[in-house]
Amino acid sequence: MHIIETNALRKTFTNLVTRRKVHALRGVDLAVERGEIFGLLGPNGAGKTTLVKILLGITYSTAGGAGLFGRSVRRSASRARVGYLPENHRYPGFLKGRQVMAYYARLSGMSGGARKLRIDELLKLVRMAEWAKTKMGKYSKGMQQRVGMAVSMVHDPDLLVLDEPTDGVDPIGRKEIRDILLELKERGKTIFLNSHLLSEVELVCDRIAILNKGKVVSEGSVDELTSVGNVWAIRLQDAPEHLPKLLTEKGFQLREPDEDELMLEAADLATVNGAVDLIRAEGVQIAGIRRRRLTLEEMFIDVIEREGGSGVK
Amino acid sequence: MIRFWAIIGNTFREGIAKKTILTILVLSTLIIGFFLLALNVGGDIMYLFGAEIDELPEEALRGFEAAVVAFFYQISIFVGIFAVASFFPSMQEKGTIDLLLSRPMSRFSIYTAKFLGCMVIVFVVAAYTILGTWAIFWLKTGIAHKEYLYTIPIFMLAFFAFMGFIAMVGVITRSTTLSAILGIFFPFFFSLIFLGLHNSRILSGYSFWHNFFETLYWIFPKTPELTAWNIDIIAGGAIDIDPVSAIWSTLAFAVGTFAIGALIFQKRSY
Repeated sequence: MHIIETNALRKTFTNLVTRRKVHALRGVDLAVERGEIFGLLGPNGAGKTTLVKILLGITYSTAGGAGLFGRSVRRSASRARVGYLPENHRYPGFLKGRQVMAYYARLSGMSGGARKLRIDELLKLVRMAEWAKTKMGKYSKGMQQRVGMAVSMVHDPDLLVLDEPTDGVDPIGRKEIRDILLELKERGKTIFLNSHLLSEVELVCDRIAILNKGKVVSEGSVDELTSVGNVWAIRLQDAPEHLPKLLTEKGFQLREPDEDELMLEAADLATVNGAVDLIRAEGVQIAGIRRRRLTLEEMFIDVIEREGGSGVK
Repeated sequence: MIRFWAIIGNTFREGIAKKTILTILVLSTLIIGFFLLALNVGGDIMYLFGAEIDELPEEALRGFEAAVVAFFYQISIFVGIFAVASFFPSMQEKGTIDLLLSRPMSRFSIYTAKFLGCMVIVFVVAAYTILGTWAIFWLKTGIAHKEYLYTIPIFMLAFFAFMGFIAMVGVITRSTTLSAILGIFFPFFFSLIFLGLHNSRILSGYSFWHNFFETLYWIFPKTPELTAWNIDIIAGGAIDIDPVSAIWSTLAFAVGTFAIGALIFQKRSY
């Protein structure tokens, strides 16, 4: 059983006056497994928030199916084990931090002493215990985000859906949130993360999907998606200008160099060692060798450009 | 049930946090305080601010009670509509509705709980005002009219119809202003207009328009009739209206608008 599953999911918004249609989702197939941190990436207007809203019963799909824990998202019971932190959340400003947590804990079905203990525990975890008796309306964006994280975890859900969880949070807070996510993963929880901060997604996610114009255009583990095949970056010190030409003449395949690094295409280690021997024979110092990877940001831009740019259609 | 009660409790808290509810409670306290200070009875004579009232205390008290109820209906329905008109639009604001709908709770339950939360707010105001003045009248005169307490359920029935309409408009338009304005105009003023047409012979020569407005008269809540009936009960005089049809048609309007609002809320994508 998948924790999250969508089949050919479609959502079309129709303007009632102009009859203009916007295809927010155009046949999305996704499967998220238990215990993984899954990142959903995409440019603005790609359909990420629509997808999350369909999963949580906030918006209805036009066609296709979606399920949580094997149950259709149309059934409210499918959300019993889900915690959610929306991007632009509005917690009741007239309630204090602790009261907000108690309210949403009750809405998730928690009662009595267990609720109080859990709230105390989470307020400490997100470092908001000191502010628990201050009204939400007086909190900064970062503080609201911390309480929002705590609210999403209050009923100890098996699936956390987080939309921009570190938005407005300082770097230390971000690190703390990342640590919380990794700890939850260790406890077997599943996390569905929607974030623009690609560096953060890269640090915590096991798998990612890129959504563009309402379609999944790329999906896989971070390693798979950022790997560039058999390309090795060899950093040299004071390399002579003729070295690339020499290597090419000896049959080595080179790619466009990146600053002071030679990009060597090599199907096996023997080829890499052959190139190293040649470079050393020329008396050139090698400062480092690493398998070439794209950053997630480079990969993301590459994928979106390949798909003809971003935007909604 | 814990989820259901959580929404009712939070709606009540929201009501308290809004100054409108406190304003009504302050107004009610002033009415209670007015009679506490002004009303006195010595033997068979009742005094208001020391001036002797030329009626027996029993009759004078019925007069006061009827006046309080007439005043209470006018003020409380107006202020009550303004007080609760924002609840359904604000519940549907981006960021609030997401947090609510993502809980394991049916949309019908959310709508109903929110609705009941609003009704609880109005009930507290009605109960406080009516029970408060009733207690003062009783303490000052030694006379306790149970008929005066009927105001609470009759007023709540009338407000149920307004609330159903406000909630429905709130769900459709998501606008506090429209909820408040239409909430006052449609069931309040139109009920009065249709009652006027129902009681007059202006349209008797035009069968289409007569039937049209007669239908609207029966669809719309019978707030003016309920108010009049309530006052008649308290005053102890003859009852001029048919309370059964007033109750049933008001109840039907309330349930109908509630059901339409709940259905739209159920079907809408946010």
